[in-house]
Amino acid sequence: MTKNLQARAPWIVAAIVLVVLPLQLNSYWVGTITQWMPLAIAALGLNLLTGYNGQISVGHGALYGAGAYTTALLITNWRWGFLGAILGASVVCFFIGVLIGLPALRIKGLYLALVTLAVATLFPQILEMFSKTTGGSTGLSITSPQIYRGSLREKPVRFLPPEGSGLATDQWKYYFFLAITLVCFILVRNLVKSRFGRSLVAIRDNEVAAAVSGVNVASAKVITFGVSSALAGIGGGLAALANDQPRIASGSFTIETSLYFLVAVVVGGAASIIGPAIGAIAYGLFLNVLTPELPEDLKASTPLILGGLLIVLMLTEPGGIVGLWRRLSAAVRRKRHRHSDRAGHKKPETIVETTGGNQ
Amino acid sequence: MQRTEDLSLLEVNDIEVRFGGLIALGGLSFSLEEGGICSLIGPNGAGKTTLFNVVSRLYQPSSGSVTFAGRDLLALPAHKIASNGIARTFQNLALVPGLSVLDNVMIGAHPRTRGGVWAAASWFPLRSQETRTRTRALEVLERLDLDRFAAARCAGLPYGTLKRIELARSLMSDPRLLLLDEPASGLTHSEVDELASVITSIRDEFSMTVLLVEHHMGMVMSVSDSIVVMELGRKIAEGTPQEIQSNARVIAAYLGEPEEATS
Repeated sequence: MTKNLQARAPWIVAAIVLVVLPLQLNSYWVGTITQWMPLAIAALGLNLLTGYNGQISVGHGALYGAGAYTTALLITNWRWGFLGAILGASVVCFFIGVLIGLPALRIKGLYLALVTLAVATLFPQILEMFSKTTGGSTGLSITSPQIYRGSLREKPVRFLPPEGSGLATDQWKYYFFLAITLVCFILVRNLVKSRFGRSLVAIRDNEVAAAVSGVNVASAKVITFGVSSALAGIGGGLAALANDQPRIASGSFTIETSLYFLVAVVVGGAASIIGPAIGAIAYGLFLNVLTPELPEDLKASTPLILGGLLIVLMLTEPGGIVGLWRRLSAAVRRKRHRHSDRAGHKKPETIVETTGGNQ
Repeated sequence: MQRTEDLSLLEVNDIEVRFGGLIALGGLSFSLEEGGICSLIGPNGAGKTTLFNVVSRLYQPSSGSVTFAGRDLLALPAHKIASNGIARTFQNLALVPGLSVLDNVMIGAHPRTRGGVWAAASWFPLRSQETRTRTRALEVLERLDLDRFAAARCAGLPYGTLKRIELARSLMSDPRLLLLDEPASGLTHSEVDELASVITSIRDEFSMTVLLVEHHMGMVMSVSDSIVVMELGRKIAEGTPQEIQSNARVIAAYLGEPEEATS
């Protein structure tokens, strides 16, 4: 029991920090952290697909966009609520993901990456094609009818905190985002630790082993593509609502968005639950904290610096930040062991779990 | 489980497998009675592993039929074989390096467990099944003297240990027929003796039929109830260990001098 509590302590602390944070920070930071959450959810989805199942997608920016547009249209045109619209977006993106996942059964590795790259590249152009509905590059405001100076008008949607809660709009939005983010992370954690999760990793590492053990490889792969896309859709839906005056445009869902997710997964640590969140935060810190501090003439080369840091990280620790953390804590544990050995204790005969994925 | 009267458990009929111009199995037929341990022996390239791959539905034969407990196996996809009661191990191991030893073994329970994505993600519906699976996996690991490796990852474990982990995984589906592909290869002398006694005792405990591909003649002769000898994709002899050892054709094809064979 105490061991259980000890293992969970960091999570409990993290949860408390996340809940208290918006009450302590100024509204700039509350807004900034709110914007990181959709990225973390999309990266979580991509990690399920790429990290755990071994299917590479460079097209999750498109699914993120599909989620954003579905949410926007459901709210503006169909008058759905926020939560309903985001769930709707996840369902739509699940089916789009299944559609991409079906041909993905026949192609693997680099070829799959190329196909998803095509999806990512085509997506902004599809938006332009249907610019009547999507607003094209001009964009689309997410509005709802609101009473304004005594009459009902279409105004940008707002996150109105429940009366008596004492929360500001941005704090309420933060909690709304946080709740969805936590639910997504908990669901994926359960999934990964289940029989389904084991079969995902088995498919990634050894398809024959999976099939012979009774795993329906094809259906598991397609479903994973769908679930991963649904998460990207939820992230996209939240991203659409993240700004004060929610507005989306085709320019926000380019190939670059897809690459952000991939970077977040790899930097945070592929095939770990918390990795994508850490990756998204690291990326956000880089953009929001480090970049403004850079001297003016270096700012233009931000992508170059980011790329350089990425290469250094991958060379020193392919497991990302989570991998680095595991390696360090294993080293600390070994050191403690050695100390207790010297003190005359017997070395326990259990095999300590080595680093590398799936926690 | 009710036995199919007068029918053999596994019926391989006139199977042919070609890889380009190479005939791996050229009209192989044999049948396997329920219970007991049957060994499949023959020189390298005789088609023993190919037959395993046909039965596991990893290879598609160009002609012939395979029936298991009265059911047409060739009508099933590969992932349905385990749930129909056939489990196997591999000559060169097919484990999942990214999972712990315990998780590797738990995967073997896949055909005996249920639950889709939603049930898994919401954790609650599958929790008791998960606990049962874990308990069972730990029992099997303990039975094969592997329990101290449960939390370890496969990478870096000794070859003989990995072979036993694979055996543990195959037992998790409670198979009616267990296919063992060269379980003794790469093992030390004492490990082979231990393996032989493990195979016979788990056969009884799990009340299953074992089909064994093995080059280690000492083990084959000591554990087998019957032996099928293959050469160049065909069956050339069949019988008890004693009969096989005195079969002139087998000696010529494979065993060499009889004194050596009985060692």
